[in-house]
Amino acid sequence: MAIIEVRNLRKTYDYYKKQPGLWASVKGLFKREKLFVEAVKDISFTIEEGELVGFLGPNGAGKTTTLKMLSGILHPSSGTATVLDFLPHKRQKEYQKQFSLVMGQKNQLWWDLPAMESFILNREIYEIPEAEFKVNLDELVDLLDIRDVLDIQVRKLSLGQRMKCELVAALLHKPRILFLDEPTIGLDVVAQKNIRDFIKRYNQQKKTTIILTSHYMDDIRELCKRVIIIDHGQIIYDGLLDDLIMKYAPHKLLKVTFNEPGVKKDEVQKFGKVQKFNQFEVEFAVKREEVKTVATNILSSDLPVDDILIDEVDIDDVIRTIFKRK
Amino acid sequence: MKFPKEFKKYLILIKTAWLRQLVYRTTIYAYRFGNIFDILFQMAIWMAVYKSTEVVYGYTYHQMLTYIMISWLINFFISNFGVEDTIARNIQNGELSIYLVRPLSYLKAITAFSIGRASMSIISGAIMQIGVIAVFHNHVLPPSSIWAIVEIIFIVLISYFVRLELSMLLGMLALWIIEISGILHISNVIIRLLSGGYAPLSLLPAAVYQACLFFPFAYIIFLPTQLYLGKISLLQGFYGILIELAWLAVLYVIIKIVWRKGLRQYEAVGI
Repeated sequence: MAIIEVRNLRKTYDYYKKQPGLWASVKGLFKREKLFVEAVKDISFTIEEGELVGFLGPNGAGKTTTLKMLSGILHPSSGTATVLDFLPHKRQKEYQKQFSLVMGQKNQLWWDLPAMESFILNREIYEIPEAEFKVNLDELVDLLDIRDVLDIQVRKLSLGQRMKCELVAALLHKPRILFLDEPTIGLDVVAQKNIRDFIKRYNQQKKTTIILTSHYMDDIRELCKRVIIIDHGQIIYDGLLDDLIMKYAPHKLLKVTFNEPGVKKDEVQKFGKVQKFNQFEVEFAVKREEVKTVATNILSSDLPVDDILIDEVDIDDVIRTIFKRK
Repeated sequence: MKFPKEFKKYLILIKTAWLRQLVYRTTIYAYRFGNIFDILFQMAIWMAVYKSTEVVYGYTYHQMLTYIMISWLINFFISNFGVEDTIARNIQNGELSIYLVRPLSYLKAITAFSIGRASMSIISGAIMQIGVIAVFHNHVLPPSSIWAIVEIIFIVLISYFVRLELSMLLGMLALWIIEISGILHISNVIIRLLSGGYAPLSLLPAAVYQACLFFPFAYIIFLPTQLYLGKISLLQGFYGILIELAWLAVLYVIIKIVWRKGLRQYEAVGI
């Protein structure tokens, strides 16, 4: 039984052409032009309990809108989303107690108080028994290593520490589902990695179902076996990340460096499709099954080869090609 | 045992409001200074006015200064310190979403929070109030009766919530109008004026005065001050309470409707 089931989900936003300013807004109360934008067009997918799925797509692709519908902030224009057998937009407490939404750009912590106060508030809001609260808090605080920042005003914390506290606040009630909307946005590389490692471990230990959106490919690569790629409100890929690379990148990269005096372009072109070229470094795009042969050919030629490197096409590039093709 | 748990959520919110207030000591002092200037300024003006006349619109010098003092006190007690701003901000920057996904009612949370702020202000303002009363005690009159005081306390309690409801409605405008601070400012001035928060409503043109009696405003400040001065009877005060309670209920229903429509709007534009 799928934990999340989405069938032909659509969301159309309406908005008005608006001139800036107060008077124009007041005028706009009486007369304005209504426009529509289809943020999500007819998407369907299912997610099983315990999965960690990545939502990928450029800005405005519909990722956040989808998350908002799954968490009940938005009412679908048509189609259905069923999560844990609930219809999210009904905002039933029984449902709300079983999930959490963390948005990298918005905080649920009280800005001007120590994070602990927000945790206590969540204890009451989610009606977490005192003993359970203590155990969960201890565990999360240790995992994220933030014991020493609990009593500091949130606004004085670094972005990374704050995101860790946001995660604690979101996980205190042991949600079965966690929606993470760009949890690593704006963080430095180290902080990103910390958050990433935590999410990974948490998903493995607790079997919490997690949907994650991120612009950082590292997040996706490290965390998600399965990705759903959305563009212009439609799903253009839903499957394993590895398969995505296989499917959209049928070739590997062969990077060859040469010693003095280097090579000429027409000397190397016969080995395969040259992607990048300079005198001492050439990059070939080679079909997967031909990689070995081509590498052998180059090595056994009389070119002054210094080093040879076989690499998977960068997933960023794969994604970029997918979006470009649309 | 559902009710006590629900209730506790909001008690914790009141406590959180206290904690947040205590963080901003400077703000508390600034507000109190503002309150003091407010009353000193008004008192000075009226003292000057009465230099050249004995009675203004049926108010003697002592009655007028009493009116100003009592309306100032009530205005202080019913202040919610910008609930409309909080709501407007939550809507504009999308923080409302964070409330919508949690098992908590946003409007109840705002109410609890506002009660927290108000109670903290009343405590922090107590010394100031006693001070002001001590300074002016020779210029103001005692209450008309002890029963008037009982009614006044009751009215002010209702007034607090009527004023809160009005603020909530104003804040919700942000769901439809983006630039809202100008509207909020002018609305607050008008509400205080029509409530009798600046001067007795009897100073207004007769038609406006009658209109004020129809709307909830007059019952917020004007009614209790009239009771204090003994310008209306306890029975009239009681009728006033009934009308104000009716408005409390009417506004509650309006808020429910506007909020439901507003949330649909919030969803429609996906702020």
